[in-house]
Amino acid sequence: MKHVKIIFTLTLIVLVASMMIYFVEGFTTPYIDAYNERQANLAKLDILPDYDGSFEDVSEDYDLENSPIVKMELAGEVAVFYTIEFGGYNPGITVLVGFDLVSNNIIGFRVIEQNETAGLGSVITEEDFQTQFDNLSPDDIDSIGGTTAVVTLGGVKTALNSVADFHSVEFQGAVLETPEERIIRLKEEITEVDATFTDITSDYDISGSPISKVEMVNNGSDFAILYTVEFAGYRIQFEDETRFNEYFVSFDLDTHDLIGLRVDKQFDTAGFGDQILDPVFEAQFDNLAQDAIDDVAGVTASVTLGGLKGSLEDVVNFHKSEIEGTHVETYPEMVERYKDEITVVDAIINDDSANYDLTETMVTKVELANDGTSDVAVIYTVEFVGYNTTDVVEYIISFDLDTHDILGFRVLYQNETIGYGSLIEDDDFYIQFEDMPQLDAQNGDIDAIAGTSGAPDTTFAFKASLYDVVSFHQTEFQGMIVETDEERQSRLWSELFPTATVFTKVTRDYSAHYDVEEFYEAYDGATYLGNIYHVKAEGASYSEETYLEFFLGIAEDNTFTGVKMWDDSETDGKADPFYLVEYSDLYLGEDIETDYTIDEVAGATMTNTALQYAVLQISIYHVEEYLGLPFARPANVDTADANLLLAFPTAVTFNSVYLDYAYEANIYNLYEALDGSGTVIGYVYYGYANGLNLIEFTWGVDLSGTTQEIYIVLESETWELAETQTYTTPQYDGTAGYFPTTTWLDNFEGVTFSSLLNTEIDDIIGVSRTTESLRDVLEIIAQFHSDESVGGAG
Amino acid sequence: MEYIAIAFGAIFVNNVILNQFYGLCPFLGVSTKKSSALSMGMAVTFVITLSTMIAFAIYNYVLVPNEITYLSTIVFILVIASFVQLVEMFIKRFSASLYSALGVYLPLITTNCAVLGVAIDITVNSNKIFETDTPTFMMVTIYALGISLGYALVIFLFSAIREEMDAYPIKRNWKGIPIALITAFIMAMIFVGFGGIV
Amino acid sequence: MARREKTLKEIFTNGFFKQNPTFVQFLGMCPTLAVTKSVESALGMGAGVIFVLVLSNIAVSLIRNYVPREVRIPIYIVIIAALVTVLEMFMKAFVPELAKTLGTFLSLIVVNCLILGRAEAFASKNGVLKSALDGLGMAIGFTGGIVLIAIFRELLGAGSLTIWGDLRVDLIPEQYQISILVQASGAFLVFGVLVAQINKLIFSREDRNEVT
Repeated sequence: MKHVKIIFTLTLIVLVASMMIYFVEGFTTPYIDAYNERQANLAKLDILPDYDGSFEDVSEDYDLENSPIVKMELAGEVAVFYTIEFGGYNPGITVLVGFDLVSNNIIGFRVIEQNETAGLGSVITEEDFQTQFDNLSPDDIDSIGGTTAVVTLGGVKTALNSVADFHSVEFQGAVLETPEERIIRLKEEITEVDATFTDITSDYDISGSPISKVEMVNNGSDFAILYTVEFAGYRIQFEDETRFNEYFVSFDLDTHDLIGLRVDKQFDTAGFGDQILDPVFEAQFDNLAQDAIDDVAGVTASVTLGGLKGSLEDVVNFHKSEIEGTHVETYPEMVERYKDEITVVDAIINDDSANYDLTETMVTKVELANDGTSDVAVIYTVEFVGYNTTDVVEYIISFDLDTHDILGFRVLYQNETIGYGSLIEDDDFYIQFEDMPQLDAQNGDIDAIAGTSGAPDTTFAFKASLYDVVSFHQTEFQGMIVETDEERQSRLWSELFPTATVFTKVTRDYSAHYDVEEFYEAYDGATYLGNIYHVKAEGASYSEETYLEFFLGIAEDNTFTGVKMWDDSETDGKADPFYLVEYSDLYLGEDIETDYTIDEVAGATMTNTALQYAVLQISIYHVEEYLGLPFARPANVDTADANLLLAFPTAVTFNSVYLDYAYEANIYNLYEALDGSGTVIGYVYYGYANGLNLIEFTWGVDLSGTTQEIYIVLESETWELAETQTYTTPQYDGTAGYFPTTTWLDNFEGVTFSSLLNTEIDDIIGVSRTTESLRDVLEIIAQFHSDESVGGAG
Repeated sequence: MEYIAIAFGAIFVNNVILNQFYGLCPFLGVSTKKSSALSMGMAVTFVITLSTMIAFAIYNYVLVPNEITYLSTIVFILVIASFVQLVEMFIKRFSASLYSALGVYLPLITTNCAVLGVAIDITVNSNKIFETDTPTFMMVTIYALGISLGYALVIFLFSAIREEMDAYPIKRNWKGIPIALITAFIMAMIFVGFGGIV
Repeated sequence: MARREKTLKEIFTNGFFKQNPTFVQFLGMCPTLAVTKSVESALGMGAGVIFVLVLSNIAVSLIRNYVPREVRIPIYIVIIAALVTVLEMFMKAFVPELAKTLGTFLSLIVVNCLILGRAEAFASKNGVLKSALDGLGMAIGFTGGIVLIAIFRELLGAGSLTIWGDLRVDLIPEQYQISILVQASGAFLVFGVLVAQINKLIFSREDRNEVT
């Protein structure tokens, strides 16, 4: 009985409780659902605060295929909301935009998601920017502003214009110009209204030209030719698709000048490349003379503009030869002319490449030039990579088969920076190669491209390729047997100590150095001349370990006699400049203990840094181990505590520990940072970099190797050029930039040294000298910190 | 790796007592002696881990399919109460020694909000903990085990401190709960430091 | 000596100071620490506890004579859990933001020892009116306790006092705030210090009584 009562009571209570919950659930559910819906529609309600109806997802009812719209919701008869996705500087901007269904104006713009640069593109999330869209007529979309991030802004405008078009078609019954109608309109704009176009493409050979269509234009009589032209812009590759920009250009059949040009398709960066769509830009082509194409300007994106101009020049050439009947030299004809110019007139050229092993050389083709009776010269076609690492420079160079000197040089193809590296393709540059002694070419004893400071990267790479070609020629045509390792070593040694007769290996007499394979004393008879160190040191290891192997000569008076590269595993070609005699000579006569400066080798700064670091280590080894003397180094330079405090704000006192660690040229001084209780909490480096002018800085790092602040103590850099770059300079006032506050420096704050060494921090275009040099020095310090185990760092 | 992160987070970073404030009544009540704290810790570990697994199964296989998730609170508390009762009976029947160690603490566990709290957190509020609405059974189990180990760890450490503290004179008005709370404050500060590791 | 029956007023005010659940009895400490980050959530939690405690006391008192002793605890738990579920649904429907802030602790009212404790200690032995008054008094005392903690934490830790939604005053500028107080660990500190001060008051009053 008792059990029955228990079970009965329990059941009853549970039943009553469940009933109660059931009824309350039924009562509250609508409210909870309404709340959840309100949460989901928050952004929409923000735009339309007074709306109390529901939102209907009508994405399925419309064809959103070719629009940026990903979702479309109707708010009754009041408004329609489009969720759109597009790219700005980075992909993945999601925006909600509302259109009023009565006025058909934009009533609100809310950024749901974006990943643009903070402070630039991210401005689109700010209220001031978004309020521009309140009751904005779709016609005024192009008038929005408020950010200097042209790419982001361009993305917004393009996407919104496309949505506005969509909206006007679907809700206002607008009929958009069809693509066909648009093409006809564009064509008529640059010819004549109601002209007839006859496709005459099949009459011409358009292969090898950018022309995809040739049309005869008739208004009663044939009066113009219209070309449809494709060219590669900046964004050629889009996902898996290759996309070309396209334009129409018409030529008058009477004057043969341009009538006009209209861009039909373009895929380039909004705000930059798409400036070619600007009517003002297009108007420049109205009645433009054929030879004035180069004067066209007004597009920031050099690649897009260059592509357009280049293709237009090809079209002009096509027009000249095919329509005007003027002969235009073709590429093969040009090559033939060049080969004649650098050998003999009417030379017979025979490709002899098959007889040589071209795998280990930059030479891609070997041709013999015959004057009708005998082979007089050899022409090498050579490819190398200059400043533009995505393209090659191709040239031909000829050697006299009798004297083995250079006969001439011509560039077949180059895509270097216009006005700098591109000047390799210039008659003024060519002329020096006429009858140039072989040795000059081998030693790179030539004029620099575009002057000494013009195109150092291209010049260095070019010199390295010349050395390669000359070596190839010497081996194959002058019967010079390739040096054996012993021969090469003895030649290099004699270059280091020309008068030496005896070399004595003394490696085992001294304690070992990690980088030193062997080292030798050089004697002239019994007279000690100096030491040769055979060094194998770490190279510029960005991602994988590389090595640099070289001989370093140190004379008896503690000056260098040179650095002779033996071998390396650097990225292809990066170490080539260091094999040159002129590089070795940079060291000649420098006192190993003074702060000598070896000029930066453009394009191989990391390798140069690594090599110099190794040389310094050997210098120290030489003095301390071989001579048994303390290595003289510059006394530490002190700086005010205030400057240190700015680099390590949590420290209280600083204590120089400069002398406890190895010498590093870029470090003036090194301090321990102590807190109030005298405990070491980190270190501060006081160093310098050679930017445009001297840059002095302090830089803090804590015990975990995490950097604190970097403070620029001294600088007088010109920073204006950096203004348009990704990084902001808070104190930039429109006329003068201010380097010490640039956010670029943030890259070096609050990061670990190890991550710093593993990530490549971009320098800033326009001020690359400043940023590159500072970055390199900071990386040297990071390396120093771990190499020297400062404060136990590993 | 993901499991290690969950376990570490549950034991140290989101410590159930010091960070989430679950199960404070027994924490302050039972933690005066090391031995009783240890027993309580073990009992809680046992109950939380198993009842969480049961709650997870019931929630996902009974409540969600029938769309009666609003009943979770009432269902969970009944499950936990019955489960604790069952465990008590089971231990009493099979292990006298275990019963003498844990027995007294088991009924207390029903009203230990850590048990119900964890059960609700891994089901209704799962996206807060796992950053996903659908955690796997494995994730949940590891989380529950971590949470209860964290509970046991803290309550044991705490009792050890309190035992030591008894030997020292403390002002009358600070004795007992107040000084225990201050101790918990310092421990909580220390555990905040674990947050930096994950 | 027969104990004097307590008056209704005494029953009602018992929980305010003498038997204050927060500072004297230390009941329901989890929410005491967890939801006292702002005055608003403390008030919300207090309102929830008032709702559940009054109704559960009434319900328990009504059925006290029909419940078999052996299963009284499970039955109380079912009643409380049902009430909490109802409360949860109401709050989610009408004050969703607050429900989100309280989170799991809303559900955890079920295991708040205060509720079960009053059901067992008072409502199961007294009439409906008395039980209701006891529940209301205790719940108000609890609310007062956690609101007091919340005032200290929010004012000193976040520099503001939030009563409800936008009804909020900012009093202390950011640089003078003690932000640790609104973090989890700060709850222990504030609560501990307050208990010590209240103990001091109680002790000094007791001392005085002894002297007189």
